[in-house]
Amino acid sequence: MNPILSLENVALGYSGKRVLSGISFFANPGELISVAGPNGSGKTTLLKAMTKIIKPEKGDIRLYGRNINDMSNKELARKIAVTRQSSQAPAMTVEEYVLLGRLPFLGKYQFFETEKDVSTARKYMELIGISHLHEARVDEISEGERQLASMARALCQEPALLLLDEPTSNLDIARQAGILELIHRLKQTLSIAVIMVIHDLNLASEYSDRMILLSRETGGIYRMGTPVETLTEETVREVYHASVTVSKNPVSGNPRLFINRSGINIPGNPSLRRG
Amino acid sequence: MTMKKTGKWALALAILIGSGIVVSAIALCVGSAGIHPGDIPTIFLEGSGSTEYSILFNIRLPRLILGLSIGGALGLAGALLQGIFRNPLVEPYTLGISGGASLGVCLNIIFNLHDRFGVIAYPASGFMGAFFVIFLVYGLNRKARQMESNGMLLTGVMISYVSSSIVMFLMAVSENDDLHNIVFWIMGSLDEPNPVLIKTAALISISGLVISCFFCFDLNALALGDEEASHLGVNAARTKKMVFVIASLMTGLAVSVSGIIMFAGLIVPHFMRMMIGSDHRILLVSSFLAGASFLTACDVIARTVISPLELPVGVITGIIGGVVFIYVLSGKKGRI
Repeated sequence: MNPILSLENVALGYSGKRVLSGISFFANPGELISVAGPNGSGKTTLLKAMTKIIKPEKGDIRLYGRNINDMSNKELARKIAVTRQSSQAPAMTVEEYVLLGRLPFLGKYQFFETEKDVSTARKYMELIGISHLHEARVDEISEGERQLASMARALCQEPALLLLDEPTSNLDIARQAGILELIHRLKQTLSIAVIMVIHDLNLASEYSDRMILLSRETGGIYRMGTPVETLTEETVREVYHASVTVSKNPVSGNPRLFINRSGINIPGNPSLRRG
Repeated sequence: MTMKKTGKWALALAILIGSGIVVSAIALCVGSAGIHPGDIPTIFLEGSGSTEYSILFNIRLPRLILGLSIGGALGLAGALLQGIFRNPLVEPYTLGISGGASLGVCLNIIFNLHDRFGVIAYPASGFMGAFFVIFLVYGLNRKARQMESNGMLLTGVMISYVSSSIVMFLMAVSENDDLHNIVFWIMGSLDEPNPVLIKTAALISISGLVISCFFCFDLNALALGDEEASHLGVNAARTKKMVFVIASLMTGLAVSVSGIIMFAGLIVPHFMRMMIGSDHRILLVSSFLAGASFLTACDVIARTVISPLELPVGVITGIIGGVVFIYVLSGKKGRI
């Protein structure tokens, strides 16, 4: 199987300060890869590199075998869609916002979207469950609803690779599961690859085919593999400096993490740290 | 494109074009010598020679064309700049362009360049001053990643303060006649006798509208932020640079031909955004049309309210625009 995306020995940083190095992995069609790690470990930096927002200091990022730096923004946007952690709230209706997902497909001299563009936008609004908001203004809906609208816009791009930055951070438990269930089905039916940055390791464990655990100390991948291979008490302790007990979800059999309160440090205050 | 939206946009355009026609007719007919709208075809057919013909086609029509062009250019520039800076307080003069133009004109008056180069020295010096500031703001921020919006705004505001201070200094040390000329120019007027300049203004403002329409979708995407616009295939940095140059050209044109006409570039795009939404496909065209009608209407008031004396048009745009805007804004509960 030819991978949709492949990274080969990629090093990333800002103004000479190296954040990540030696990053190599690939994403196959129909695969969901979660990227996890502590704050500041370079998860969002990695996503930014995959969309040309920052250029790798070393190594190649290839989409269908082509270096993404050789592709125009528009070409890239036809294949990669992104939802961001903190989307701006523009003064437009939800439908106008979702329709922006069709932008990469519009011709240079095209002034109006086609009927197909509108029906595509409506299809994904329906799928995400925000059809009733189509005339609501994006700057007047809740953060969670905005996150859903951002997801609908990304899907409206009908991408081969979907990059999600904390897609469930503002959603209630039902919506979290609903969105991840939808992504799980879409990746299979549409054969798209999904790379998701996520802090909730239990959700990542349930829905990921593979996980990448980034370490702030080493500035690279600490472990990569299935959730069972990645989420162990030892890896969580090493990467997050947190004590957890890992058991199995009785229904799915995936790893399930429980925090051990006695082993948790209070950040930034040594006097309050537990022995 | 939904039918509902198409209908709404068509209605908005029809209303704006209709108001433009009505305002233009009023501008042609109202003045110290009143002309009945029904007489215009007869005056035109009778040809030059009559006083009415001279008033209509040598005085009022050029002034109308200039008002429509400058008003349109200011409305468009405001909509473009608010789009790229994602800041509702930005107007064409925020970036120091008016300050640069004022300084250029002050220097022209003080060094008597108009004696050497003729009346064209006024707009030429204003234009050069405006473009000096544009290149300064652009040049100082060119190397910043993605043309940082706040950096450009701050540079513009600072340049504006510096040039205003220099203008005040020049006014303080200038002679009475020069001072009067400077003050009169700064207050803004559509009384421009040079037909070439009027034609140039019309051509540049319409070209500006046509070219900016190619950036409608990019501006819509920029409302989400530079990075998200990039994710939608937009080259955010290039779009911002191009749009900045177009808006600056429009502003430079307006300032150099008509002096400083405040508020039109701030109020008109705001008003249009409140009325028909923030989609730049309709916002740019409607801001141009509404700006054209607004400035023409203000000019009619400026030259008739204390007739035979004439008020600076900037005074009227500020008073009417500000009051109407506050009224509409309070009705919309602050939603902009």
